[in-house]
Amino acid sequence: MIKISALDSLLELVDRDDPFAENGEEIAQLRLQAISDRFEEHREKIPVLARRAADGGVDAIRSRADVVPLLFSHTTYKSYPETFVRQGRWDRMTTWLKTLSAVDGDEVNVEGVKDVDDWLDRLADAGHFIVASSGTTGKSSFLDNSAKDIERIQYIPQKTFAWPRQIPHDNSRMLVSMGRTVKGRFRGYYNHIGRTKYLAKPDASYSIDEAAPLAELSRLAALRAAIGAGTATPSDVQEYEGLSRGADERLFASLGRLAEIIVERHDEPMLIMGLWPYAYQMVEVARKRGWESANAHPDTVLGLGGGTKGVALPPDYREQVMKWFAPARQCDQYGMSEMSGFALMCEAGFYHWPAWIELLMVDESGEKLLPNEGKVTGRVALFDPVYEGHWGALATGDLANVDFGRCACGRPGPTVEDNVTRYGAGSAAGDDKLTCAASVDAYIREAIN
Amino acid sequence: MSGSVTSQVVAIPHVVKGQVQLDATVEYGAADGERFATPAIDLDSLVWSRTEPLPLSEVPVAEIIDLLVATGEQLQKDPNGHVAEALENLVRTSPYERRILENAYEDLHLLMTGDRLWAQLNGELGGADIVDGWRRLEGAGLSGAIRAYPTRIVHVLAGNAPPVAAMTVIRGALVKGVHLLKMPSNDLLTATAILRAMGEVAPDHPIVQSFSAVYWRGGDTSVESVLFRPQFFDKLVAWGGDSAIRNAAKFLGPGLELISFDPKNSISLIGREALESPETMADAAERAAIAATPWNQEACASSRYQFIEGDVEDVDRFCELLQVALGKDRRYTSAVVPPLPSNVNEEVEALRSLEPLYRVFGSGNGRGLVVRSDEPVEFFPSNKTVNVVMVPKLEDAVKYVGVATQTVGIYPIERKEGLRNILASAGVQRTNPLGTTAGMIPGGPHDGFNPLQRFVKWVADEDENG
Repeated sequence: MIKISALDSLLELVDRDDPFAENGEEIAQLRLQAISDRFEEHREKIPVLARRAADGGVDAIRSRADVVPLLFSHTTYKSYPETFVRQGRWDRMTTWLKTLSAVDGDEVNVEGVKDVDDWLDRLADAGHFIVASSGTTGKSSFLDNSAKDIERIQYIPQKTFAWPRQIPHDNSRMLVSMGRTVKGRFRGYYNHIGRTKYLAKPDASYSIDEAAPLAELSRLAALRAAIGAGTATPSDVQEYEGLSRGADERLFASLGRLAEIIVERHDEPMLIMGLWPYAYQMVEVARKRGWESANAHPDTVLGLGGGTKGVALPPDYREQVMKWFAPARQCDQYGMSEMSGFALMCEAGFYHWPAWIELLMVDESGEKLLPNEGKVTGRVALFDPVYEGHWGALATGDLANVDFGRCACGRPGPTVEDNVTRYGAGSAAGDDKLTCAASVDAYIREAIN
Repeated sequence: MSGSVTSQVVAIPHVVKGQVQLDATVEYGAADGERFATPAIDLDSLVWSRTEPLPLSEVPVAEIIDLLVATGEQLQKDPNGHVAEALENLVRTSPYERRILENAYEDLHLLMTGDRLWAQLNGELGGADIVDGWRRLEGAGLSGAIRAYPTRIVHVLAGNAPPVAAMTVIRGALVKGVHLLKMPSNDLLTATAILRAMGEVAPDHPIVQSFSAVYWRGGDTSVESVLFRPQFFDKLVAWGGDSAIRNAAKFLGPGLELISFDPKNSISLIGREALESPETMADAAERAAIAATPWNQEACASSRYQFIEGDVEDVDRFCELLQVALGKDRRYTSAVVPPLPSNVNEEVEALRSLEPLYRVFGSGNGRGLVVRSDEPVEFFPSNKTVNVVMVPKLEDAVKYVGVATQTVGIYPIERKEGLRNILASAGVQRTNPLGTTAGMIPGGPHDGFNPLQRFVKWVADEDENG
């Protein structure tokens, strides 16, 4: 008799016809058990978690509230000194990574590593599969994962995608990925591989070929630091400003190529994934070439998201993109690259939170758990029990309205309203609590992305 | 915005050309303290007509200095209780604890002594003659006279230390211009407290006509886009705050110039002499803590990175002493300050796990934290945090200083002279013996320039040359 773990029982939900139909007390108990199991396992393996648990006086997870002192923020995974990357101290980077990792990997060979992408490949050779992300300053975060974690994060989102009318896993579609993160061990790269594996027709998976590998971002970050430190030469500054510009030109060329493919093969059902700004820019490129619409197949599905990423778009950018792709349908998801699966929008327009992930709404400080009943506004925090390789408790920077009650579509909650914002967004100009002290960041003119 | 003001809301006065306005009807939410309300702003009353002479232009500066001295004495004596009242309201809206604000208010008059004001005028402008009238100038066979003439200035103040408001009123009065002070949300009371005291000692004097202090939310275009124009003001003085400076810069153009007290940070250079004996180590650690903590390390002069020569064992002993010294109560420092922001704390904890490469003393709980490393950390040390950086020799620290580095405290004092030129060349604006608390020399520069020289317009009157 093999004991089925709480996590395995939870993951069975993913394979149901409606993964979001059930989310009751029994599942809540399974989640708590899965979290508790992970805590027992991870406190032994992750030094930073062990210290956090000791500081917070947490010896076991008995309730949702016990998770709150153990929430890591997304910045935890970028808490290394950036000079390690700049100076190529990959041994030190590896030491840092292991303080946050539960992966039982082999010895990492950092001999002759030439850049960050190279280092991530060496980590993968040793069983550490990193999911990286990048902030506006170019400093990347690194989350360690086991091989099994990677399998799961490639499978789960494809299984639930386009819910409530999911796409069959029968490799019958042409796939276009319009994100710049399809190269370089970003979540977008793993997603693209997952989509290619489960959904795409053989040899019909396309992506932006001018993706930004991590090393390019590290170079940007290094230049930015040099500008801050006053050691940058004028040609360094030129490179800092030019890197983004050169990338933009290549991006437009790439979007043009994708537009061509989409127009050419318009009578096939496609799956088009990516960011709104890229989709809009692609539509613009297409119109310039005289293609007024995609003439898309009625079963073509769009999965566009990610907001505007600071790109100036017309107010009706969404409508313009949808009109060009009509009659294709758009599937909205809400989530972050740290989640094993995402919240998907139901017929009533609310995002349904995955039942296998614990949603913990907390106050702005991230220290106080808010009630999990009725309507709640606060900071989104979560525990994702899926991951073997790193601690699954995360406090995000998102401010959201959540309803823990039954949704208008008839399914149980929790659901997230489609108006998530970032904490601190737009408060900069209005904050006039002035001091004459500041970091050198004030002296860096940001490159235009 | 406006509405009935409840007793929970702190009422903030405005002072406009000597008129004290107490009718607080416009409510604001505060970032740190309680909600507050201010009088409504009448934009027309905040400008001075260009067709009339500036009120102070022909008042002798000696008379102005006497009035400032009297204002300082009035602040100290506080016969009407207005300073005490301002202090109570400041305690409710400021991030600082009562004791520190009391000390700050007690010391305001020290900036307004006759000795100090004369030294300031003489040091920066070379004497009263050039603001009271015309100074002869001759050269290469040509001659005439020059005068430092008053101007119209709007000041966007910083609130991390009450002396900022006092320095602004003093400088503004010495150059005789007209001055609109825009108060920040972290010090809504000091500017008006000083102007009220001034109005009490000289109610009908032109000096009172020359100043206004009001609040609007920084970045409020409905006010700034209207006022920040060359038609109304010649100069915009901005203090700190990256976004505030950038915001101010939007309004600059021909006829309206920026005088910026840029956002700065400060460092210390500690020679190996500090580690020679337990006595020198204790002395250096105490001085290093004093350098780091004024205004709870919120000031631009607060030392954040301290570069030290020495072996790691000795340096770690110094760090232990420094960590303890950071936790002390001082005149302008609380024993316990708010904890480190959580994202910074995470970086500190990451470094802690990288020992012995880094070593962390204390924690981010606001009682004093020291991080020892061999190059500067990337986070911004604040909330009583010092990054002690080991360097083979102090000269090696120069590569880490730049235009943002305001003050460098040096230990021992003998090392100062050998370092000041390379530091100045790298961008530093001030060097001093580590942990000196006396402040800047009156008449000396601030942030690399003489403010009085930039607060005026330099006018020439030429003779019949030719």
